[in-house]
Amino acid sequence: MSEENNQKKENVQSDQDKKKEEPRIGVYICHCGHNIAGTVDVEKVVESIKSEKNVVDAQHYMFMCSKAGLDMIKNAIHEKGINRTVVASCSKNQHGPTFAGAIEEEGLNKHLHFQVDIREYCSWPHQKQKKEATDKAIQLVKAGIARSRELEEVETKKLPTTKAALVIGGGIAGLRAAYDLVNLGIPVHLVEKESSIGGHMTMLNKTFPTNECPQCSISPLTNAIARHKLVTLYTLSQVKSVNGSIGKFEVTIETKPRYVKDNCTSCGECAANCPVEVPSEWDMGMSTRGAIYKLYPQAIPSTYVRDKKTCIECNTCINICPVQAVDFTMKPKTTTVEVGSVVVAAGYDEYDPTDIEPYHYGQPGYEDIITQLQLERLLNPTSLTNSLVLRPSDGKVPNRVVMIQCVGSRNELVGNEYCTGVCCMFAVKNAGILKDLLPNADITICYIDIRTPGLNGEEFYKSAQKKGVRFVRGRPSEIQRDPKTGELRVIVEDTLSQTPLELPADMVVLSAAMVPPKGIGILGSALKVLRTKEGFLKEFHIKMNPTKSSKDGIFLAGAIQGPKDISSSVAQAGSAAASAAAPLVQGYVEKEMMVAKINYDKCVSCGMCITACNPAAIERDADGKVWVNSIACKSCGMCMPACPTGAIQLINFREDQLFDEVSALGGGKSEWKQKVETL
Amino acid sequence: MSENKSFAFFLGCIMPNRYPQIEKATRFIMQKLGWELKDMARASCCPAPGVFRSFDKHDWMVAAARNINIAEKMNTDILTVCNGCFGTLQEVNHHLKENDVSKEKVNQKLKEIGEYEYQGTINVRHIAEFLGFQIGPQEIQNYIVRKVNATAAIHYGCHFLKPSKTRNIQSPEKPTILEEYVEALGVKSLEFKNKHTCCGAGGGVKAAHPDASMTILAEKMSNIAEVKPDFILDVCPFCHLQFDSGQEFLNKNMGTNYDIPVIHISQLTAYCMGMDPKYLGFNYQTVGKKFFFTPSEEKQ
Repeated sequence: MSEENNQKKENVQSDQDKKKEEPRIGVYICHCGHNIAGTVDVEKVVESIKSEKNVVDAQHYMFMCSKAGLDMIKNAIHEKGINRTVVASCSKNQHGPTFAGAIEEEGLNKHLHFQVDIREYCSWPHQKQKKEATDKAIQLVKAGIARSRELEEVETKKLPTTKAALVIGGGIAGLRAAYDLVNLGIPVHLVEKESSIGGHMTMLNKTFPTNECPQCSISPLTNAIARHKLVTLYTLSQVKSVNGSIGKFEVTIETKPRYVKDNCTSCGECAANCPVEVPSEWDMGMSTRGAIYKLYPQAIPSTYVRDKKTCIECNTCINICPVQAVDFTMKPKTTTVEVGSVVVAAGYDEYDPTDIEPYHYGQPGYEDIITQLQLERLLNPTSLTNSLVLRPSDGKVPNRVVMIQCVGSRNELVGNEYCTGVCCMFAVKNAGILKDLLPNADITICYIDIRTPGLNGEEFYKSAQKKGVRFVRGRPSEIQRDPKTGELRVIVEDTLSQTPLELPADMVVLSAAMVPPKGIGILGSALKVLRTKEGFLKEFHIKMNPTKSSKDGIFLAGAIQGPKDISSSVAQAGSAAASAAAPLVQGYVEKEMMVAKINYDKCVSCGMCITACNPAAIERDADGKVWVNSIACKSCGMCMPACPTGAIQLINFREDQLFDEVSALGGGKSEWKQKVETL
Repeated sequence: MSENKSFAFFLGCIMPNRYPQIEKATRFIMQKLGWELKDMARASCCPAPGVFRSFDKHDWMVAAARNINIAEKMNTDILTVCNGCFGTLQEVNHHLKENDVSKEKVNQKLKEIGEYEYQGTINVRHIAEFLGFQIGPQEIQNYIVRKVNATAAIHYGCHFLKPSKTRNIQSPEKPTILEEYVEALGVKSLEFKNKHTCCGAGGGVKAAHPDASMTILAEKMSNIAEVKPDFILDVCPFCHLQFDSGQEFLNKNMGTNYDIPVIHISQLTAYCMGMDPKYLGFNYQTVGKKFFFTPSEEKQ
């Protein structure tokens, strides 16, 4: 609370003590070679503006961004005593930091540099109108000078960070991120909603393109995480709330009771004697489990777990347990931890194909239509069939298997326009495996396009073709069931030969899309991060920063940011860990305090700014007063137009400052400025 | 929209010209249900969705909007017994209600042909959806005097449920509205292969490519004949025509020997409500001339 109060005091103060030294502006016009000077008469620009109020120095030069150009500015600071700069050149996105850095080196605040773009906004679009372009450049520079006069210094703060990280999700991405973080010496709180870490990767039978055993690949990592001193593992847990900002988040974690204590020796007596038998969710219905069970043999932690919903409370497990580990009285637990950064690796769900009615998935009589993830569990060494390929309806060996691609992907009808991007690879993989296991079986893949990019992708596709997997280009319209024989038929047009086909199938495997995990809405709003229209968490920049979320200090790893394969998830997790570790290893974050401030004389506490604020940096305190968390503020300015009274203003983008610039653009008269102010 | 129980009855082309018995049956059941059917003065062709829309979507909308406007002036919803009329009128009504630009363009053109201005104040209804959902399998029991002991191959036709986003009646993949309705009248619906494919008539195919039209029908008929229904039940006079006259064509040209009666939902309902079987007009149809219903139970 004390920090909040300081914050508020600050807001009031900086508005009051605005004593500034008289602006002494240096204006520099860049030729940018011929880019600007070929169109704009730079000498005329200098002549026109050098007598503007407060302009102390005005020069032009071939390349202002060169060392000689920068020295011109630096010398002027020393020799002519200029205390702020206007450089008319390229876009500020290109060389803004170059000039701001130069004046900072000479002891000026970098926010006292203002850049006018007379290249993209002037010389390039007006190459054939040299006179008009010169007039426009003069106008733009005058506006820049008007803006420069009122610029304020902005402080850069060093905020201390809490050396700990939260990783949400214990799948491959979360595990990898956690491992990389602890290797940098950062304590990690790892939160997993299932009773075991490992995620989807441990559900797979093999991984492409090497057909490796995923359990063998991942278990060194799961074991390392489980025994690492810096890792605190929370299974059966979910993140309930995340408050604060980069460097200091307060996280509430809710843990469901396991009903089995940690002294469990994992002997399995309880499960072996449990009278309940229900389909195993982990095995996608391809095996059964008791009401007390372990997800899979290598589960970590290996402690058994009781499912209260299906338990009939016969107490057999309690009585039979040799170490008295089973305890039905365990209660849910809430833990609060403080961390400096957050890595979200909440993964994905397999798309549920029941929405696509013509495929009849899950309907009675259509038991032999399964998803690829179900096939993975069917082939798994621990499956009900002992990993034999037997179809679910009658346990017969399927001799004709049809796989259908793009189920729930590339399908506007179900609302998923995107390509999941990995289904072609896993279908090719599973088709090849089936062909190896059942050499005489017909394995067909119906596809729209085969997309197996990158190293090894095309080779993998070809290897399946060589094994004899048949590829039919066409999206099946329907899976029919013969009313008499019960035989399934996949109706598809082979669009390469324009032939309608009816493919008889003993088993159909749907390559279902990767979709955002259930409950991501709740987690997303707890984290206050933006999501894509598909529901995944949105990255900061798709090219330059695909690992950061929309909020500082929260990073994304793996499929939660969009469908991806294991290799990409691992790579992104490493990047997320490095980004998340940086402020924690450094011990502080730098924050430029160019933030929104509230004039409480005008504020009516309506809260419109709270709604407008994307990074959720504006809050209401217990008294109903609205205040800006300046650490979380991202200087976007969205609050300003939302404010009905003009009470909230962003430093250096205040409405009066913008009026100065705009009115100078409009010819220099500022009468309307006063008119608006009196409104 | 209107609270009074009345509809503007849109006849269309095929029903009054080829199967007046369907019109008779429809008028009979609506009267029994206590609904008034008002005639639409100067109503034109709907116009047919396949042919006219394909040539000129705008003019197609103008002609349809004119028909809709006739009912708007009568302040009643439109009732049709035909998938084609429903396809056109419902779709144009839906589109114009949501699209002001189209509405304005259509109204500009309507102005040139007289006192018409599309408003968007009424709905377009199909007899099958009215009977199947609004009246429903429960309430219809109060109006019928007998049930029929028979099996039927149900044919939905294309425009009744599709496009489903516009029609918004039921999923076209596995609809149940007709099955549940006819079951209430004692009729058992049979499952058959490719039940929901086209009869081969629509989309201008029957007129432009009669051979293709008959090839589609031949496959459809062989799938239907396989399950040996007592009759084919449809909800559209154009499908009705295709099945009725098409069977004779197949018999003459492809060596088949079909004689499966073709019955519109209005005919079945009218019979169950007690209409004299002689008005059902089976003897005026091409096949199934001698067919008569077997009543299973008769209320006094």
